[in-house]
Amino acid sequence: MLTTTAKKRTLKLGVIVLGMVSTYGWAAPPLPPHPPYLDSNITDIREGELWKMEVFIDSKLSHPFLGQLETICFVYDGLYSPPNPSQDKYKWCDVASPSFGWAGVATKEGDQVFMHNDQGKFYNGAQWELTSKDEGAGHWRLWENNFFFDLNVIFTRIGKPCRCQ
Amino acid sequence: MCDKKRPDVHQVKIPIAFGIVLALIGQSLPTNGLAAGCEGMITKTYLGGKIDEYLLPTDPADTTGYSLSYPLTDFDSTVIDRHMVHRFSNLAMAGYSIADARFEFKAKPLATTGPHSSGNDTIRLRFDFTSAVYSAYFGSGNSGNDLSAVFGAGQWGTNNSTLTPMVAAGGMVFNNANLTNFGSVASALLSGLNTHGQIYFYVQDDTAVDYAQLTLDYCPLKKPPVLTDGGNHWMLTSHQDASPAHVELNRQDLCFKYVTSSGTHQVYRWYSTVSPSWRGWARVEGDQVFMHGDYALANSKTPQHTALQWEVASEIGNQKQPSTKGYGHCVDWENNTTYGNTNMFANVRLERTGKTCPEAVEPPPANKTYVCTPKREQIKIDIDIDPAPVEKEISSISSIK
Repeated sequence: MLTTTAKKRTLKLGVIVLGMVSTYGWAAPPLPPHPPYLDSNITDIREGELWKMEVFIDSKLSHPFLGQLETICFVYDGLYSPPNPSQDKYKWCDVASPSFGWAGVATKEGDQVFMHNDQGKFYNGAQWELTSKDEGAGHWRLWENNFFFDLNVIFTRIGKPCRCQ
Repeated sequence: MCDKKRPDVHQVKIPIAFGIVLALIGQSLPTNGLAAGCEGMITKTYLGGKIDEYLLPTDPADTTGYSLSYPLTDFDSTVIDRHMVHRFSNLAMAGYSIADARFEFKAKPLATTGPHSSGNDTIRLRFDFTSAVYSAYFGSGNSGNDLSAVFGAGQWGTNNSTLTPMVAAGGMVFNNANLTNFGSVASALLSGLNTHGQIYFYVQDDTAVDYAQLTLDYCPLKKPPVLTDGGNHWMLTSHQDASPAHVELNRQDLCFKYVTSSGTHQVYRWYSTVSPSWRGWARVEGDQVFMHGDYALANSKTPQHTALQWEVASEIGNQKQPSTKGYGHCVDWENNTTYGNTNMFANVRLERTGKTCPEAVEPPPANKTYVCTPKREQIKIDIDIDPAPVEKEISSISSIK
């Protein structure tokens, strides 16, 4: 029969072993939140961080520069999707056109970013990847019923605070 | 290599009984700029009518879209006062451009006397109805670009004159080589064929046409060499992919030399001037770049290896605007007897500088450092990193605020 002290020790050891198993004995999935973050302050879900978005026409031979927006705001919005989330969720918007409503949702897993919105003229879907903490690149597609357009996109962190409505 | 041999350029069909030695005519064949052919060339022949010596019934011509108030006729028709029109259509081929064109037809004069004459008849090639890309007269009945030098003065007749040995001979074959001044319109012809994808062949109205044939060489559309057009010097910045902060690791330069194309790939050799033993091969498909290479490390007998996979994201530069950016991944490893040792998985950012690289140093000296990674100490940190680095970073996030 174990003494109380021995029971405590055994319990303590069990907790430690359990802790070790849960930490090292199981293949831990890549849990969110996933740094580097699009919005450095993930504890504030109201204020986000500003990014520049440069777009290029992917379907043209020379990928001509189409333009840039320095007004893309990412606001951290928690984990996606509980109870066993694998991704971070962000709101994103173009702060220069809040009334236009160009805004949507972004999720992030590792350094991969997935974005969509359907509040503008077209549906938008993007997939890009952070190369450094402050810069990444990928693809952006916009479409409607009988139309689509493929863009290359480069995102660069500006770092100023911003808010989406 | 699937280098298709270019077929014989002339392909002139001349009846033996009427063999004319075209070389004696002294008209050089227009090269149309790509006489040497191209890799992956495809040749197609489009035939209007049949090669049947004007055998009746007539062979139908395609007059779709042609606007003419005069009565039209088909191949082989020997009725006078009828205009022969045929459209060569659907000439465009996706992914290819027309690089060379060879045109050929057989015709004979019809009118011998009276108000009608073959001697002032015109042959034209045209893309639209405002102008002809090529125009010539068969005889000397009209002044201008006439073909009488081809078959001899008077052979096609003049207005209201009596004709001609050409009638009895069944006419003759005309082609690139003997059509007077055809070479001067070669580039306009090629350009128009690529633009319009069709062309009208037109012969006036007292001349019979047995057939008309257009043979086109198609070359695959080629992108300019993505990695060297606008400067072959690039800077590579690597970032530790496993680091929550994606910390910068190293900067190296890369130089590309275009070698050839292989199917859908552009093939390059690449090397670095900063790490001169680092070199290998690259292939570009679309805007994706796939690279592999090796390097030697000073004080190490073990060969080091590199593989990069990245994609051009920005506008592809040129001599005026060389800047071009690409993003992707790099992995460095070294051989061992089992699975190999990973030096680093890195994210990479590449940007063209616009500079021109010096030639690679031969033989390449060993590098002083790793390539996607800065130095051995940091590699050890990476290799020995805790298996759950994300959790560690999460626990320290509050300190970032």
